[in-house]
Parts: sequence; structure tokens; C-alpha cells
Amino acid sequence: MKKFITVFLIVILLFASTFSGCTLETKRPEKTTKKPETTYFSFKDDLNRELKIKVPVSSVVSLAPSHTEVIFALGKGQKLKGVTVFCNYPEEAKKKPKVGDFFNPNVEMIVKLKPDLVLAVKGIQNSLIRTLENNGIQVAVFDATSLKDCAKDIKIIGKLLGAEKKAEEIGNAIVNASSNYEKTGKKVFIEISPDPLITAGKNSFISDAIKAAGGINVGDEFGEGYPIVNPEKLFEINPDVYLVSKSLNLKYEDIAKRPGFSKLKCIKNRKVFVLPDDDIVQRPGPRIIKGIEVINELINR
Amino acid sequence: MNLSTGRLKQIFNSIVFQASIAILCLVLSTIFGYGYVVDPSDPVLRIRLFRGLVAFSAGASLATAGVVFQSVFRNPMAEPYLLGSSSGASFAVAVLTIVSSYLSFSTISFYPAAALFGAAAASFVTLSIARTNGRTPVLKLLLTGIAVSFFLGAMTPVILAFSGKDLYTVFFFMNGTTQGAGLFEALSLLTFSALLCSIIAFNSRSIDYLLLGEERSYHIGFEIEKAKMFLLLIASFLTGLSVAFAGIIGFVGLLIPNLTKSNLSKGAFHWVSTSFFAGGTFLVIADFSARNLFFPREVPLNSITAILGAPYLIYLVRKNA
Repeated sequence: MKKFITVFLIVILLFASTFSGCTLETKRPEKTTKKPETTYFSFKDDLNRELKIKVPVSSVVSLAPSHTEVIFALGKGQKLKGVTVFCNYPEEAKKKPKVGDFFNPNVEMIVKLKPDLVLAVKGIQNSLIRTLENNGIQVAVFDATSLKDCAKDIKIIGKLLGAEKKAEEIGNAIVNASSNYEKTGKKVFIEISPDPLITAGKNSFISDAIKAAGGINVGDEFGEGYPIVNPEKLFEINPDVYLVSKSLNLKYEDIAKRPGFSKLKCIKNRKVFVLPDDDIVQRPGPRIIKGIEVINELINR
Repeated sequence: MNLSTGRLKQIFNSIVFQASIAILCLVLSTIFGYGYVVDPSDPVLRIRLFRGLVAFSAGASLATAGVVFQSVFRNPMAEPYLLGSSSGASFAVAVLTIVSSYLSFSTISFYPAAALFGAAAASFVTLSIARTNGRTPVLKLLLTGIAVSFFLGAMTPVILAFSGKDLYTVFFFMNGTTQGAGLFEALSLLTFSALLCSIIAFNSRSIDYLLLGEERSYHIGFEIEKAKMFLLLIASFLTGLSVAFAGIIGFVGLLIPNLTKSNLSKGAFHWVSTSFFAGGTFLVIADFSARNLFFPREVPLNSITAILGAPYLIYLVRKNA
């Protein structure tokens, strides 16, 4: 009997929790937004899908820190209805409602916010994109792996949000950032993760940023994306500068004491630098201009 | 062990033979490598040797632990991670990643210690939960191990989500690599795994009894419970050591004992010693492939062991059918 009561209570509780979720959703006010004009903007997103979206978009949910930064830089922060917990820049972004993290955004919350558009990234969010679209929410995917793509994406987002001029400005600044720095010919290696050693390879955003800053990204020799590195090749390449992601909490000594590393030029010359901020280098957004400047400064230090 | 001199000589000969093959593979994997031609003073040679030694020790430990697990469970599907050591290790590493975000220095050098602790702790928890009335039935042990494994495996992403950290470090840690192995790592791992494996080898009589069946051994008067716990504890520690220095490497602990089981007719000692060297040599070859197959890119050791191991296991299954 006791057992039966416990089971009964658990079942009731389970149902109660499900229904409480439902009532929250049905309470949603039926807002009818005014549509003074209907202009459509057609473009291809980074999943290579032909999209046609009514502009200007009045409410957006961003599922990536870089998208959040772009939207704020375009001066359209007020259109942002939801962000991820990783969206930490600018300060105002932290006050926005959170819809989960980068890896597991909460579909219910996004649907409840009823945004005109969700900005997502490729790969890890692919299944989520399908779910959202099945719920009648438009999703555009931007996942720049080069400065050129980043500028292109910002211009598209600008057109969508009605901030064309500003987007044009930022996009051009990003594309032209490389012209500020002359080619140093220095071989630069960036450590993204230790044990196993991972770097930024060909067709990665960071690789492009290093090139724009006047360096040669030796990570390109290890393959596409973010390859695991065989240190033997690194000894052969013998880079001039060794950059380390800040989040790894590594110091010069940590890297110098690795087997074989003491013979590297960059270790002998103490050209090992920890990035002051990972976000400005890794996020395809407006702050990459600052990121390139920082890398250039480190390369020439 | 009451062995005849002829038998002893036979065992000695086979150990010498297996050890020379292992050393030959180690030397070849050190001398040869994609990349560039090296002179003897090149640090690359030392790095390759250390990596090779770590691979050998990890493989030998896993294979020997696999022998213990397969004899305790009397099942060819048993493998060293059965008591939850792998998920225990990654859980401990995940906790360390979170703690390290509050510290100003890198905790990377503490990963092995955390992994060893996590693996040993998880196995110990499983063993103590499954032990009732002074007995540890294998079915209880198996189910408890599964429960502990799944629980810790599920807790790892949960605590990472809770702390807002990313999964990268733990994810890659789980894939297995011998990178970053220095003289200290190589020698300490080799010493400990050789020591613990010898303890198992010299207790191989217990394995013989285990294979005989618990009931029968019990009636002969053999203290099967004590031996079982002793062997499992050492095997878990061996597994923990390999996880600590080389990450989680699947398939070795399952494949090698099956591969060398044909030696069982010569006694469990032979099974243990052959597995030790075969496991080590297998992982040396796997590590060599992981480093050089797609040079300069490396692939996780786990993929190599599975790609090399799975077809062979299928062959064994077909052959014995």
C-alpha cells in the first residue's frame, strides 16, 4: 500500500510538472505586431540555404556570443530578446534573458519568446535548428571561418535588422584590418588546447586573424579546422612566436618544460605569449579588429 | 608454484621471446617516423621513446587487467572498465577543470593524479557496494559497476553544465593520447605497471581457480573471495594508472586476453605474461599509427585500437564458431 502511494505521488508530481510547463505557454499574450510594409530580403546562410526573411526583423534570439556582439555593435541591442549564458559582451548582454548555453539551448524558452529570427551556428546546433523551424521559427545560421565571411555575415545581419550602414562600416573595417599591418614573415603557432596539443588550422577564423596580423599561421600545415598536432612536426617548423589561449591558464614554464620544447626558437627567445583575451580572437564579430591588433603587437614584441 | 624445470624453462623462453618482440617494436617506432630524418642527438628520439614506453605500459596494464576481469567474471566480454574506472577518471578530471577555473595556475599536471584517484575510487565504491555478507557475487558486481559507470558518466556533463565550463578538455582526455609523456611519466608508469602485473602473474594460481568456477574452488577449499577481491583491486589500480597517463583507451583490455587465451592450456601464468607483452606491443603499434598515419595530424589512440582490434575480434569470433 505504502509503495502504491509513493508511486501514485510520483506520477502526480510528474504530471504536475508537465502541466505547469504547459500553462506557462498558453498564458502567452497574443500580440499582433503591426506590419506597415512588407519587404523581403533573400540571402544564403552558412548552411547554404536560400532564405527569404521579412525585414526589418523586430525581435531576435542569439545562440552564439559572436552574434550577440554583432547585434550590439549594430546598435540593435534592444531587438535582442534572448542570449546564451556565454554571451558576456558587452555588459548589457548579461542582462538579457538567457535561453541556455551554447551547446544546449532551451527550445521551450526560445519558442516562448516568439522571436522573428534566431541566429544560430553550425554543427552543434544543427538538430536544434530543425526543431525550431518545425515550431515555425525562422533560423539563420552564420558560422564565419574567415574575416571575409565574417564581414559578409555582419552585412547580412545588418540588412536583416535595419542597420545597413553601420554593418557596411564594420564589415569593411574587418576586411581592411589586415592592411594596417605589414607581413612580418614570422611563423606563429597558437595553442588552443594542451594534451593532446590542438591548434587552429586551415580554414579557421583564428588562422585568418593571425595572417591578417602579419604572421604566418603554422597551424595551417596540420590540416583543416582544429587539428590534433604531432609535436614532431612542430619541432621541424620551429615557430618564432608561440601564442597560448588565456583560458588554459598556462605559463611560459608550463610550456617550456614539455619534452623537446626547450629546443624551440620561441622558447629559447621567450616568445611565448598568453592572449590577454580569448574572446576577441576566437569570436567572428566586430572585436576581431582589436584581436588582430593584439596579435600583431604580440608578434612584434 | 610447483613447476618442473622444463616447464619453467619453457615459460622463461617465451617471456624472452615476447619481450624481444616488444623491444623491437619500441625501437622501430622510435627510429622511424614520418617527418624528417633524425640524428641520435635529436630530442625527437627521446620523445618518441617516452611515448612508446607510456603506450607499452598502458597497453600491458590494460591487457593484464583484462585477463583478471575475464577470469573473475568468467566471461570473454569482460573488460577493465567494468567497475567504472573510466567514468570515475573523467569525472575526477571534470571536477579538477572546474576547480582550476578558480585558481590562477594550470592544473594540467594534476590530471594524472586526479584520474588515478577517480578510477581507483570508482572501482572501490563498486566493490564495496557489491560486497554483501562477505561475498561478492559477480552478477552484483557487474550490475553495480554498470550503475556506477553510468551515474558518474552522466554526472560529468551535468557538473560541467552547472559550472558553465566547456567539455573540450574532458572530451579529449577521454580519447586517449600518449602526448606529453616525459621521462618521469614513462619510467614511473613502466615501473608500477610491471610491478603490479608481476603480482598478478605470481598469483596466477588464483586465476586458475577462478576459471574453475567459484563453487568448485570453494569446495576444494580455496579462499576464492579473498583472491577475487585482491586481484580486482590490483587490476583496477592498473586500469587507473593507464587512464591517468594515457587517457581512456578502449578495446585493448577486451581484445588482447581473447587473443592470448589459446595459451591458457599452459596455465594462467602463461596467459598473464603473454597478455602483458601482447597488450604492450599492440599499443606501441597503435600509438605509432596514431602519430604517423595522418602526419602531421594525430588521431585519438582510441580510434586506432578499435580499427585494428575490431576486425580481429570478429575473426576470432568467426574462427571459434
